[in-house]
Amino acid sequence: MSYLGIIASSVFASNALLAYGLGSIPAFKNDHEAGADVASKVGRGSLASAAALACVNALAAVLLWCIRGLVLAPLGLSSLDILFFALIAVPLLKALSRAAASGEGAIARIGAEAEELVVGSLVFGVALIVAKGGYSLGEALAAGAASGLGYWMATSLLESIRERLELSDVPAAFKGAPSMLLSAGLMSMALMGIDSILVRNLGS
Amino acid sequence: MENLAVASAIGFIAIVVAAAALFAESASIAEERSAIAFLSKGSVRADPMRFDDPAFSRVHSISGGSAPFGAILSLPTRQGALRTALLFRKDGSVAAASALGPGPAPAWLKLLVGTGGTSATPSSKSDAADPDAVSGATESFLDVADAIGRASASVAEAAR
Amino acid sequence: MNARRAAFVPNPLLAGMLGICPLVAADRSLPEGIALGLGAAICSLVLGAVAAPSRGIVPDRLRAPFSLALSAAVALLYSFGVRAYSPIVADGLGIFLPLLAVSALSLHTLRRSSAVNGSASTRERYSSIAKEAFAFLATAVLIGAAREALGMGTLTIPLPGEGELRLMELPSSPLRMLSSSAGGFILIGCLAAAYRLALRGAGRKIP
Repeated sequence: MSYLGIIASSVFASNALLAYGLGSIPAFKNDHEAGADVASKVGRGSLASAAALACVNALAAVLLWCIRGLVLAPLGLSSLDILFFALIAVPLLKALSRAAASGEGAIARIGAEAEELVVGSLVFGVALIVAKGGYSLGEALAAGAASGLGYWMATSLLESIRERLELSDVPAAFKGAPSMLLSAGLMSMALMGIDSILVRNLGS
Repeated sequence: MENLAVASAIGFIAIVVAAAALFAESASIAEERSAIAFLSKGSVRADPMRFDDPAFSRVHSISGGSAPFGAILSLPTRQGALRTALLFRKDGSVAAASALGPGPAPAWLKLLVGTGGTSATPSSKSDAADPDAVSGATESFLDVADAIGRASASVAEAAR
Repeated sequence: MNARRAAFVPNPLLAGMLGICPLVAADRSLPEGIALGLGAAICSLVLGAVAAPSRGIVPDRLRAPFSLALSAAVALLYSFGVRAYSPIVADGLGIFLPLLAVSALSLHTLRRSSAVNGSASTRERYSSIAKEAFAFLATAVLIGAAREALGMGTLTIPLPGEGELRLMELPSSPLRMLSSSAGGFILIGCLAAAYRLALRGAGRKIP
């Protein structure tokens, strides 16, 4: 697969939220619901969110690729990838995010957003999908970043749908998360119509 | 001191999981050898060749069977993974394929027997021997063909 | 009446959207629902049992990495068990078995159990964790059964090895879309709405 095919596939045909359901909680809980935390603000349309998602997912994918390919696979311990990811990659990503957050301006905003993302199904899931996808190092980096951007795109669209639904006369039982889930289902259905074979062969 | 205690605890957890992983791997190898021996009617050697592929992780050598190599592939389809036992010739071409599990194998699976090695696996629906059998499952068929192609290439390389 | 209301624990999935990620994409059949629900429940119960006692032993700054490592270990051990029982189910679940390490249900349990100023007694806390875990398991099984019956037209129970016990087989699948992620989102959305209606009918506040 070419880089263009990998990016297009990761953003559309294999979208992290709409195809795999990763990172669903921040996407479907709104700020007013009990238990919502800073993570629910991720993906709400800002460029800092997009950058944070792309960077964290790209780094996570590359780290797990290295751990799995260079350390675990030669020892025949590939099945332990998630444990070593939790022990090595997560503290490293948190440290990098904290370092960025202590900076200034846009870097600080990106770092603050990134730190909330690290321990979650989105980052872990994207890292696992990419590490097991048979990619080279450069392709893993591209796939991770594109998956983060695809997630940002999906959550931005869902956020604008949520704003419209709040102004509409939605039955009480469907207000909030249920209507967002139905919207995500319809968006996922639309993405299923994309010919993934065509997308994967782009650029080759 | 506290740091050392926590590090020791985490180290102990890692050792327990690694031991469990090795045990689980040996059980998995035994199960694969049994399935391949049943398909090939031969004897599967103890130490498989290892690969790091999304669809398969081991290729087994067979003696006295209908083909010299065998592997269990987890083939991606829309309905989930399809576990399949495949036999390969020395050039990497597929000699036989059998879906594991009680459900019926997809009709297009037999179209992939004979591909690989010197003749490439299909890269589009029209490359299949019977395109009508593939209709409605083109994406699964091509994903499966791609996975079998990688297994075929790995077998051909290992045979050299 | 007040004591009965105080004991009510909302369904973590349908009320709080906890643990929804794997159910959307991977909970397509009854065996997968059982495997995912049981895995999330086990991870949650183990973390809930360990979190409070470890508060006095593990320093604050090391609690997060220690808990994450423990969660990953439990998820891995569980996935080895699933693979040993049924390799077909394990292959079907793919990355979602190791992803149980960061199941929102487990992380939620960990946060609650680690809270220093909780007013609930230990027994009440464990009882609440167990109720949530069981509710999640039951919901995951229901979702898997519904998606398999309506999406694939079958209903199966996994047997050890490559076998399965087929409880039902329809000539065709009524709603094939339910087998996909799109169908998962829509089904869970409808179930969440039905749960809210049921809560309203029972006079309870929607969480």
